[in-house]
Amino acid sequence: MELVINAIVTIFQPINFSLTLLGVLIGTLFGAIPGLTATLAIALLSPLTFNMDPISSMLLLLGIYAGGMYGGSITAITIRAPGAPANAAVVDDGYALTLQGKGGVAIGISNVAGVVGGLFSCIAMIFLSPLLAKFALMFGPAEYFSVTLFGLTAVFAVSGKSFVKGVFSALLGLLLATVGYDPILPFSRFNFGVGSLSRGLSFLPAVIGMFAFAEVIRLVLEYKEENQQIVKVDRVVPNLQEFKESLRFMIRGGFIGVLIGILPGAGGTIASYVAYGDVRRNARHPELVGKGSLEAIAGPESANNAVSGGAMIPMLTLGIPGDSVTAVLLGAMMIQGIQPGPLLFKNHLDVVYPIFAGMILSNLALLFIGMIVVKPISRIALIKKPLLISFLMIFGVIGSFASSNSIFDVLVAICFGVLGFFMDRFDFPIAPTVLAMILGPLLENSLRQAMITSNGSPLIFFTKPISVIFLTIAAITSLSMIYRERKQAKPLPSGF
Amino acid sequence: MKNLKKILAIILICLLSFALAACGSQPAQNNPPAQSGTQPAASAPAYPTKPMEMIIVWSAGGGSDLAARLMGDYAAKELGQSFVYQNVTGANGAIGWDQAANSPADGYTVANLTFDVLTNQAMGQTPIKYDDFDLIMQFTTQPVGVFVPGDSPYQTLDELLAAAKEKPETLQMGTTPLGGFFHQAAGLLEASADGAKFKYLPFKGSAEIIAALSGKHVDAGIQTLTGMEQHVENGSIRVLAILAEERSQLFPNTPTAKELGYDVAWESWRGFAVPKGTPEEVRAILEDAFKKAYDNPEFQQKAKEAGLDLYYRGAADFKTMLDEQYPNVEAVLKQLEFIK
Repeated sequence: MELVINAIVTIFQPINFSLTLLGVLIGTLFGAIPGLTATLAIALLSPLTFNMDPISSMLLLLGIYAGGMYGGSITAITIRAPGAPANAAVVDDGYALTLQGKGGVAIGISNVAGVVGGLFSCIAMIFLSPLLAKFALMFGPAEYFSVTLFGLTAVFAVSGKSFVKGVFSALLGLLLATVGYDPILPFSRFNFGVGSLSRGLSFLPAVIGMFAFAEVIRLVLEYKEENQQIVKVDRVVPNLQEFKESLRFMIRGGFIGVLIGILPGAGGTIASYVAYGDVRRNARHPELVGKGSLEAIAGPESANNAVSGGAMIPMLTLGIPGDSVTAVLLGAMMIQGIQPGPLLFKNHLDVVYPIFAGMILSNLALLFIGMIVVKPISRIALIKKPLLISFLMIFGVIGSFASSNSIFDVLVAICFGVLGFFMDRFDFPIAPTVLAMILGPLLENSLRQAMITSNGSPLIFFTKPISVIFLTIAAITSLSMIYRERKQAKPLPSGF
Repeated sequence: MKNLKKILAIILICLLSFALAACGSQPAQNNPPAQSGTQPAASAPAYPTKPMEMIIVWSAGGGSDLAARLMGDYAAKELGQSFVYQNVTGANGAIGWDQAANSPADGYTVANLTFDVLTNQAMGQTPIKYDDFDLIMQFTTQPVGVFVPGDSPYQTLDELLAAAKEKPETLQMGTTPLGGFFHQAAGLLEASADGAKFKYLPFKGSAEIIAALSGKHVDAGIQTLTGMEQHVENGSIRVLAILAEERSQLFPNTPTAKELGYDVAWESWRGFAVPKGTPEEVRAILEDAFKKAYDNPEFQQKAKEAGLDLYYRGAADFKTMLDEQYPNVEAVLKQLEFIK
C-alpha cells in the first residue's frame, strides 16, 4: 500500500507530470504525421532519457506510446492517410465521416475510444499480469497460426459490397506479402532480381500509397472548379448518445486489444482489424459500417490503444516485448539498469507501480491533449482541394521515405497508389489487401514452423486445444458473415 | 480564432523543437574542435571538420542500434564532432553495408559492422566482403549458450547431445532463421558430437526463442547470454553450456562446451569500419578516438547497465580475428548444406 501511495506521489511530481503530458503531445504529433510513428519517436528520444531518473524517462516514453496510437487516427480520418499501420482500419469510416462533415466527432470518438481502451488495458495489466503472461506462453506455432487465421476472417468485415472481390483482394495481399526474405531460410525470393525488392515491400509505404495516393489520383480526376463544396466542421466532442452507442464497442475493442497485445509479434494492427470485424458483425447499423459509422471508429481505436497495456504484460513479466514499441522501451529500460522479466515484480515493485500509475496518467492526459488538438487539426478538412492534394502528396512522399530512409519506398508507395486507384475503380476493396499484407508474414511463419514441428502433418492444428478453439471461432464467424450478407443482399446476388 | 492560432503556434513550436532535438541530439554535445582536448597533433590532417555519418544496418532501438549509438556518442565527443545516425536496414544488413562500402573513403562515413557481414559474404548473396572495409575496432562480443526449458529431462550437454544422437532430427532446437549465427553455433555443436542431429525451429529473434523456451515449445535453444540471467535464476530456463573460449561472468558455474569435450566456441561481435582506402592518418584519428571513448569509465558504466559484453580489439587484432573466423563460417555453412 505504501508503495502504491509512493507511486502516485512520484508521478504527480511536477517534473514527472509534465514529462507525461509532453510525451503524450509528442506521441500524438508523431502518430499524426504519416511515416513518423510512436516507435520512431521513442527510438529517437530514448537517448535523451539516458541521463534522466529511470522513472521520469519511463513516464515520458509511456506518454509517447499512448499518444502515438491515437495520433495516427487523426490523419486517417481527415486526409485518408493513416499515421501508422495500426490506424489503417479506421480509414474507410473516418474519411467517409469527414466528407459528411462529421470528421470532428469522428476524431473525438477516436480519442475517447483510445482512452477507454488504454484504461481497460491498464486495469488488465495491473490485476492480471502474471495470469495473462502464462496464457501468452501457451502459444506455440500452431496456436499462432490459428489465431492469425482468425484475424484474417476480418477480411469479410472489410470487404464491402462483394465477398468474392474481397477475398480476391486479400489473396493479392497475401501474395505481395511473400516478396522478400524467407522467414525460415536465409534467402530472398520473388524479387525478380531487383536488389531493392530483396527486403520485401515495406508495409507503411504500401498503405500510404493505396489510401493516400489513390485518393490523390481520384481527387485530381474528379476535380472541377465549381465543385468546391466546403465541408463543415462541426463540434468535436461527441454527444451523450454517440458516446453511449459506441461505448459498447470501446469496451469490446479494449478486450480484443489486450488479448492480442499480449501475444508477442501480433501487435496493434491486427487488433484493430479484429475489432473492426467485431463491429461489423455486431453493430446496431451494420449497413453503415464502411460508410461512416462511429462505432467502427470506436472499436478499432480502442483496440489499438489497448494493445499498449497488453504488450506491456509480456515485456514486464517475461522480458519479451509484444510489439515494436515495447521492444524499444525494453532497450530503454535496460539502459536505465532496470531488467524487465520474471524477477522485476519480485525485486522492483518500486519501479513497477510508478509504471502502472504512469500508464493510467498518460491515458488521462491523452483525453486532455487529444481534445485540445482535435479542433485545429480537424480543420484540415476545410482546406481547398488543390491545397489538400499537394498536402497529401508531400506527406505521402515524406512518410514513405521516412520509414526507412529509402527512395525506393516512395516508388513503392506511388505504384501502390496506382494499384489502389484501379482497385477502387473496379470495386475491389483495398482494406483486405492491407490486412492480408500485415497478416501474411505471420501466417506463413507460423504455418511453416508448425509444419516443421509436426513433420508436415496438418493434424497439429486440431490436436492443440487453443488452436482448435480459434479455428472454430474463425469458421463460425466467417460462415455467419457469409450467411448474413447473402440474406441481406436479396435483390442482387452480391457479386456472385 | 485567436485561441486557435495560439494553440497551433504552440503545437508547431513543440513539433519543430522536437524535430530538432530528435535529428540533432548530438550537435548539442559538440565541443568546438578548438576547445577539445583531443586535438590531434599539428601535422595531422584537419579531420573531422563537419558531422560524420554512421550507417547502422539494424533497425532503430534494437540491441545493435543501441550499442552502436552509445559507442558512437562517446567517440563523437572525443572527435569533437557529431555522428548523424542512419538506420539502413534490410537483407540481413547487406543493403546498409553496400551503401557504406560505396561511400567516399574520406572518414565521414563510418559503418557499424556485425557478425552477419561474414555470413552474407559466405552465402554469396551480396557482392560486399568484409575486406571492402578498413576496420577501426571491435567493441562487444556476444557469447551464446545452450538453453533448455526449466523442467527439461536433460540435465547436461552430454545428455542432450546423446539424445540427439539416439533419435536424430527429433529434438527441436530453437534458433534464429536458418544459416544465421545461432544456427551456425548449433551446427558446430552437432559436428562436435559425432552423429547428433537436431530438428531446427527458426524464430524471428531472441525474444521469440525465450518465449518458446519458457513455454516449452522447443526442447532446447541457442541464445545469447545477455538478458537470460533472470530466466535462469527464476528456474523457467536452464543453461547447459556456454559456447565460448572462457566461462561467462554472467554464469560462472556453467561449463564451456570445450571443458565438456566439445570443440565449439562461436562468438558474435560488433565493431566499426570505414570504406576501404580511407587515408591512414584519418583512420588513426578514428582508431584513437574510439579507443579513448571505449576506455572512458562513464561509457564502461553505461554499457554495463545496458547489458553489453564489452570486448576490445584494435584494428589489427580485429582483422586477424575476422581472417580466422571467416573460413570457419564458410565451413559450417557447407556442413549445414547452404553452400557447396
